[in-house]
Amino acid sequence: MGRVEEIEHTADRAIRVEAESLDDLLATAVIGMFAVIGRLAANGRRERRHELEVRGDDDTRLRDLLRAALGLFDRDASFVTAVEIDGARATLRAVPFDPSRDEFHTEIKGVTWHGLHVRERAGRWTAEIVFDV
Amino acid sequence: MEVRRLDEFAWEVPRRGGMRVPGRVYASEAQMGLLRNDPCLEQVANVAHLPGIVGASLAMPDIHWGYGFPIGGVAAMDVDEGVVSPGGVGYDINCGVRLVRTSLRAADLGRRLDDVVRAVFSRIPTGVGASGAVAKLGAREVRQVLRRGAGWAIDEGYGDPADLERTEEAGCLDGADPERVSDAAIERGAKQLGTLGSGNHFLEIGRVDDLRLPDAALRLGIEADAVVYIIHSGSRGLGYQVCDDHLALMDRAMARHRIQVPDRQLACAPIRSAEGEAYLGAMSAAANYAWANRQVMMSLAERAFLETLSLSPRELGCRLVYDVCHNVARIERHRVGGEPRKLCVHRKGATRAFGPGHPALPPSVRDLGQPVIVPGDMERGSFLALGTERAMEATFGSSCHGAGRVMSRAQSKKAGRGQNLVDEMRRRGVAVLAHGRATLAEEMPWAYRDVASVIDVMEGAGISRTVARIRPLGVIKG
Repeated sequence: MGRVEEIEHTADRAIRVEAESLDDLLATAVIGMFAVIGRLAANGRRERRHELEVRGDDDTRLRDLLRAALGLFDRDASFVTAVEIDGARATLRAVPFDPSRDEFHTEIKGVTWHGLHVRERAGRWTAEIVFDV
Repeated sequence: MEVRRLDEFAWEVPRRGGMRVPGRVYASEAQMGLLRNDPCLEQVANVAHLPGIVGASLAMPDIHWGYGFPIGGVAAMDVDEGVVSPGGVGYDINCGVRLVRTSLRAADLGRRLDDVVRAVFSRIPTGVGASGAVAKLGAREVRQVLRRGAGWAIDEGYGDPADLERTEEAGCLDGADPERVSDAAIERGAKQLGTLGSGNHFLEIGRVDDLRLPDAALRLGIEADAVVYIIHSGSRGLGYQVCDDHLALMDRAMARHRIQVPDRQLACAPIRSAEGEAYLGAMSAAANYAWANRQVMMSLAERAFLETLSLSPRELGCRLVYDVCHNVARIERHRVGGEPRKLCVHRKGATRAFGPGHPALPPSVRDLGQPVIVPGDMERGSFLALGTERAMEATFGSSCHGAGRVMSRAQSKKAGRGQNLVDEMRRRGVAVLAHGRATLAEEMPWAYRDVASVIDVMEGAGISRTVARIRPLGVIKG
């Protein structure tokens, strides 16, 4: 698993993600986004698997994966806890978010394109993502 | 970023590279001192690259770093040659503000203030996943809301038909096309009508404490020491989904339209293209949802006042002063270089501020100019102002929309670490109820510019005239 840090943004929320492969970067970004949204109380809830496809250039794949994961939370409060990437296929494992037990931090309205560039340098993959909140 | 002073309150970002027009930023010298190295000026310049932009890429004094467009940005595009950009409206389509007057005086609330704040908090769902203010709607009913806006809510018993006269566009944009709204957006809208949301959205009970234009205030129903309430919210998940869906469509269509933008979040399409028309239809529908949303909440808050204080509606005297939207794109007619032009005016964190006599204004306020509601932070309060003829000439009839953040959410939380924030706000004279400590910590007064400094620039530049200041007494947040 890669590394996520929150970076300063005046009005919204932004994260910087770093990983050793593109697949890891994509997976880490999803987990990083959910850390912005909230934190689960002790687990033990039944997981559900969600399969989806993400295609296109690296930037588009990253944004579309994040949009799809956010859609799971928005539609039925599915909180993603693990992500596996295999080529164009992504498998997301999620548990139901319970506002009475879990900690909610921030409502993310959208995953923006602003400043979103996936970069690879000397085997390290990085990206910055700004969320509208 | 290079900026050139134009006059006491206006600064130019000169044209360079692919900019089609210059940028123009309204700010005091002190504000510009802080903005010079902020990414928001780069965003003003980026917007100036968009095809068909007319005059200048504008920014109001509450400008701050957004995504794509700066918050506080205004851009007008020629309808025949220009583009429409979902990023120029934002995810929260028709996020806006509604000011409601009552016949109460601050002393009438007295010790009952906390009870009223609690009652409002229990009636209006707030925070993440908030739902249940109105029984879950079917897809057909949601589409009715999208077509009819605030009028739908009034027909369902939320408010009075007179409220429509005091709502921009009578609470319903022409051209709303629910068929351009995805099923996912409809589903998100089905259970969120009448809910406040989280983040910087709020319902604030306040008192009028500084009447600067008493005659105009009286005409608008505002008197000194009167209790009022302000609702700040938008189109909730439905609007976010509309923005996201159409941003993706435009991102794919840009190559076909041979449009290049310096930031992909500025994805756009010609106004007169299938993508442009689809977005405007869907955006208008989402804007109508937002008006219905604020209409329902206004009525729920009125019921909370009535029950808690055991008053009759006549005694309470609730009446809408005005409802404005500050995230929207609209087709408007303006004079540019003396010639009439039909323009698509994007206001992203900016309020329409049409001057006196404008035909789009309702008869009861037409001679005054458009009421502009400018909320500030939870302590220093909000302002009511009026649009001017100067705004028509200089800013496509636009003014500021708020105080503008000066501190990131993380910095704001850090500043409040170790404090009981509800007690801190109580010490500052404001009763606050919020679902989460995180939201409250992000929204503390220290995170915002003093709204008075913003309104003073607009007044000094002749863009709006300040009518009254409103001081917060109680606030509910998500």
